[in-house]
Amino acid sequence: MKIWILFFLLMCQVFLFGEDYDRAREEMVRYQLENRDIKNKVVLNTMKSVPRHEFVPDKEKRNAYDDRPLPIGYGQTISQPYIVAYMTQVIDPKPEYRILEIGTGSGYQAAVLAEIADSVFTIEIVKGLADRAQSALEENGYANVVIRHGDGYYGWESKAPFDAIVVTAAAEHIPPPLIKQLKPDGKMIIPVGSPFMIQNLMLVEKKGESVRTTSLFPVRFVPLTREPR
Amino acid sequence: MNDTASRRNISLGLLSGAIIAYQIALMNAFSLIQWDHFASMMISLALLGFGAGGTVLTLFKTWLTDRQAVIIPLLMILCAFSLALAFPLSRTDGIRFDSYLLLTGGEQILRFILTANLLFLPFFFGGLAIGMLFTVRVKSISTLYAFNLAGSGVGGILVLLLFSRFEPHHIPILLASIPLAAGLLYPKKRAWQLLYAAGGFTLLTILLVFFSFPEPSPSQFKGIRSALQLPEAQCVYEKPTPYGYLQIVKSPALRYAPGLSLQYRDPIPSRPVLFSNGNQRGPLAEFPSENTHHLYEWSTLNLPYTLRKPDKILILNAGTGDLVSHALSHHPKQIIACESNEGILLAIKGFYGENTPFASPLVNIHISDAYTYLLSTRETYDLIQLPVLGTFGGSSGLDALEEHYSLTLEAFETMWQRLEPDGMISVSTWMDYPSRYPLRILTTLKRLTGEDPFRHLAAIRNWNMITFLMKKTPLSSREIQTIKTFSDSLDFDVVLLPAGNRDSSSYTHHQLQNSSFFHAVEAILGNNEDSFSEEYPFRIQPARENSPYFSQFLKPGRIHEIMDYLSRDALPFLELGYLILILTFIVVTLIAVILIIVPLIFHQPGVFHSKRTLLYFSGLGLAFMFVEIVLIQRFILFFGNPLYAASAVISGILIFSGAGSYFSTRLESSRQTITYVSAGISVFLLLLALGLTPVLKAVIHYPFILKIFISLLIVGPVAFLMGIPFPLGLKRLNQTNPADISWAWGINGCLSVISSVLAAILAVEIGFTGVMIIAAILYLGVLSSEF
Repeated sequence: MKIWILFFLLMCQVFLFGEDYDRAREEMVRYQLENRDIKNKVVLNTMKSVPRHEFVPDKEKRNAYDDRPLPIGYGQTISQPYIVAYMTQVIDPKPEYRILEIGTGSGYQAAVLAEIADSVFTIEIVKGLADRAQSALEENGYANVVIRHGDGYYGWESKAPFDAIVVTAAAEHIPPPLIKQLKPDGKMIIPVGSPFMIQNLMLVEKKGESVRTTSLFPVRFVPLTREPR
Repeated sequence: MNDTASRRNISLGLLSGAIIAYQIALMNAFSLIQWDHFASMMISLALLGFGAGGTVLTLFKTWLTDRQAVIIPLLMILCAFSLALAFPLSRTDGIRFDSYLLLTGGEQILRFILTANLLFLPFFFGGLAIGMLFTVRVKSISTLYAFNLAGSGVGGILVLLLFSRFEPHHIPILLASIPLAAGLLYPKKRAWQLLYAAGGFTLLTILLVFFSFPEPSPSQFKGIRSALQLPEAQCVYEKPTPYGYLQIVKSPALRYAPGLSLQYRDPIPSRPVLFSNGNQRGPLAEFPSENTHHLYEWSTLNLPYTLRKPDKILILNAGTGDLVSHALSHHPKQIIACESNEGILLAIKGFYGENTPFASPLVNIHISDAYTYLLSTRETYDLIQLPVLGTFGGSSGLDALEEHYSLTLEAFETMWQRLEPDGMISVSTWMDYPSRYPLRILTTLKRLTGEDPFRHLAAIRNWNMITFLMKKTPLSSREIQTIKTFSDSLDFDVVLLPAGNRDSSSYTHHQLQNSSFFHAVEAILGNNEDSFSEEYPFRIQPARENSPYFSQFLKPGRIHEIMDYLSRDALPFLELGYLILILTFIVVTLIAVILIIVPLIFHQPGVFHSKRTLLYFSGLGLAFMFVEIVLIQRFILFFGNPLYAASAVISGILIFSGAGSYFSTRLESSRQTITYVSAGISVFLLLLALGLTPVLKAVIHYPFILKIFISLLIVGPVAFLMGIPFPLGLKRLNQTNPADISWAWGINGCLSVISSVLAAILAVEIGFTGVMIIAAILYLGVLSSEF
């Protein structure tokens, strides 16, 4: 009898926590995304459905839906939800898209892209992170994501060209092979900023042989002026 | 002096030396596993030990002094025992904190406080032992104080020798043997079996910990950790040096190409990278090949070389030789490379042999701080080039408290004087968000010429880097056209060119989200820089040699405003370094007040004369540390090397203060004597505040040995006098109110705790001269506190 009571309590707990995460995710979308400038319905629905808490370390689960990046070990972070949504909105993935991601990290960004696009190829340079992301993606049923452990510098030539490339582990120069593997008129997005910093997003667009970049700093930073007294 | 007294004095000297050495060893170890922010915390913890020791003495004076013959050596052994264990325990999983995570939640703050308390224990036991000795032997206070200071001075030098021999995490454990020796040497009249047993057990602990304590991992956010996680990464060179722990890491994934054009389509070659204390110092540069173009010809860094071929080039803070290699590829007649960290040059030579750019017969190396070199030479150059400033993607302000003398306005003015009539200064910085680095460089460059700076300035940028060029003569129309052609060919945007040569179509390749950066540039170069700087939420005015914190942009008064505007969670990581200092100040002040002041307030309430004691000893506690910190900073510039400066000043101050203290045995502890001494110190400090920098600059080119002599000549007299008021005050207190001796000791310790961190904050806010003037006023305040 005691075992049944314990089992019942445990199930209640699971149910209640599940409820909490669902509510937290709803609130995250409402307050952190809709209240800012995420207007793309597909992206909003995706952010509502991808369980972010499944991609963070256990001790960070309670903070999974906070409006900030979180440490995931190995000196890496899972980006702030808004940044993930914003990056997804910028590349505007279509159902037929083939997307390359450099820097799998937690696997959360790949999961968000995989909800929308046909296939996501993602490369992670840190073995521990690659293994953990692989497990999280498999456990959550993302069969259209292919992970590879290795150096993303050379891209994934056998799967190229790509409609979009998401670089989550920015280097101080954009690897020339990635520019080559981008389709004409393709988009590449790169967040620039050290862990926990406000990241400045940069869009790279291939126009023929020319390459253009646009800074998309999500927080419209203009010189602050004191209130006139 | 009889044998017992000699043994007591030597024990005290050993203990004092171990404590100062432990403090410096902790600074070194923490700068490797975390960052440099904890230097002032270690000083505070050391002083906190003394303050808390004074409080315990006050509360349990009778009980302790009755058993002093056993307790003093036992405390020395306990100091050794805790010294062996404190640092290793602080690195265990449950206690270890990470600077980067400090502001992410309460758990990390708790770990930070736990770590502080653990590291504090050896200081507490040592401080209590010294305090007890001073209390029970107050008649010999001057001799004891002299041994205390002299021992500290020797300890400061000894630990520097250990830095080149042992890994940083082993040094604190090794040092534990010194207080153990002090405890065993101390004259024992009673319970010697207990003391020897405790000593034997401690020795066993030291050996066990030394051989079993694994090398602690640096913070997961440090460059070395990321590099070692790369495929096929291996550390191919490791060497402890007095300048830091040097490592070279190789991996096919380590590639570096700052400011590179997106038109460059070949793979970037991988290069080994040098790390100092876990922080990336740059990729190792090989001797440039004759047959291939240098990679940087496709970079914004090539801007000065597009205008003409400079014959004589000065590369400041040359580091791993990247810019030297680039300069060599342009075949100049001579290159002068300045680097203050000799260890880096030795590491490169050890790794590459003669295949380094530094081995070229065209390259003359000067091991010196860049600004120190500029002051000590009269040579002129066609091109002066600085390394890339800032960190790609931003550093979260982690280098905010590093002194960069070579980036001060005075340094740039000196560079300007060292240019040939047609010479150029070139400096590049990563673009940051919100913009800080480029704007501060601009406000600095603008001041170099009395004419319209627009005529002398050019700047080009790619997507993440901006390169400035400031030419001594106005840019000619041919040069302007050359810059435009170069930028167009590599898809760079022109940010600055003389008026009339730039329009909005210049920003076509790398668009920013809005034009605020360009408005800032226009405001700075226009007539309303002052009002713009005032309104801008970050400091962008030039750094000055009086407060050489180029990377400190945070305006404390605007924190709330920026947090409201950006994001409450994001701001701390925009300017983390200064906030860590403020957090440290709050934590150590709270601990100091709780451990020292609160018990003293509740002990013997209503003792009114102790307020005068408070004023006297707190003034001394604050001022002494202020003077020490400012002198170290001033001498960094003089020697061109922080290590020499710290050693010369700390050891000089301690040894001369010790001599002053010893001399005070011959002085009457009268009010008149204290007045004369304090007035003398104040006058000296005011002279140093106003005249030290010009004097040091005038003799900066003297040979090293002569510089050492000059530094002792400057530090000696004031340090000698500063050694007098404390023992003289204690002696006077012994005559007027002996019950207050330990109270005075505690107050002095508490204020010393606060002063070390406070001095760092004040140096940022009001500069070194201001801190020195405050120290002079504090010594004058001592005069008014008759007790």
